[in-house]
Amino acid sequence: MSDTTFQSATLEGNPLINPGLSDQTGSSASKGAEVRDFVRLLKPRVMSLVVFSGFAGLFVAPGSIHPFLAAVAVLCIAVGAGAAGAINMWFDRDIDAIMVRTRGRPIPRGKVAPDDALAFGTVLSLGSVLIMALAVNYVAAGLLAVAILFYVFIYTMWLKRSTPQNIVIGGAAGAFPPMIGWAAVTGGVSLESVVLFGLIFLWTPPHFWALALYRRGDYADAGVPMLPVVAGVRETKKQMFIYTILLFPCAIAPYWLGVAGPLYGMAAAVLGGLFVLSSIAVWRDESDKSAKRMFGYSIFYLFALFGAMILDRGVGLIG
Amino acid sequence: MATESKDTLTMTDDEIRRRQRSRNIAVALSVAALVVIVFLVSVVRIKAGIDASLGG
Repeated sequence: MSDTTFQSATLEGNPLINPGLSDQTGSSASKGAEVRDFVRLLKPRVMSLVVFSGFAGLFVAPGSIHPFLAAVAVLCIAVGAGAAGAINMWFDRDIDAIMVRTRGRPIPRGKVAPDDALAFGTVLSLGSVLIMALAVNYVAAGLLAVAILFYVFIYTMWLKRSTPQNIVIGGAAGAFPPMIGWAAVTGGVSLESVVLFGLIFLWTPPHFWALALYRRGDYADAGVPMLPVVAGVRETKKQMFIYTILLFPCAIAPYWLGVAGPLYGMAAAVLGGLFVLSSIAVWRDESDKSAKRMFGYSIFYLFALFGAMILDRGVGLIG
Repeated sequence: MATESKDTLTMTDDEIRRRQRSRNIAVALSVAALVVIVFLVSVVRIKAGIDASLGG
């Protein structure tokens, strides 16, 4: 079955696709919305990782930036990422209503009207790029705009529902923050910032496929052609292993390039080794237990990796 | 009312007004924060420009 056939067979004519949403367009539909419902549209948990990696890129970049402008740059990255998330929730409201993991989001719950979510996301996207351009520099603003547009148009609207490689290519959108942070300081893109980009780019597939492995029924019901749904569990586990192997040298590369010191290099080797081991555990485990553990570890991995990078640089600055 | 969510249907007018007020306050604070950010960015950049011209 081709990817396109898969999509049309599962999505079209599905009576479960949030029947009340199409009527809920006027802003009056959001009159029961609380401030926290709009905050939830920004995907705060995803935002925390974006902020952390964006700050890491900014912190380890050579050169200097005024602390206030650095804070504004991180704020713009956070708001831009959140805004893209809000537009994603607007577009995916039909499948979000089907999936157990996402049906509690503000739009499927009827807390926020779809039009309001779209307007909210659009205004914040434009605002974050504009402020980044005025306060920091045009390169950082341009990269932020590309990241938002890539996430909304390439990933959300095109790839997500059409190919099992959705999060491989779409993962590029989430890989931009450290590159944006780097550009905020240096005003450009260099090999070092491309390596930071590559790090998150290669981390994304095993991270999301670990989730997709134990949520594959959810994705199948919603008609999203995630790899475990389309290619099977065995193939997914093989791909996850390959990506963790590819990620291993890429994660150590900042040390080789002089972006970070030996403290980071050791942390990257240990964390990367554990990531490879966790993917082997997933491969050998017939149940979903290891996949759940690997998903949790993958989040810790990225936080710890960028944490080590920041710590290493901080120690270097003090010393 | 058919298009309203379950939460909205069970809310009193006071509750709706309370939530609306909270949203208004959040918007007002966001706009105020934006003004402060733009002002401070202007100050920092102008100061950097002056420092650069004096240094150069």
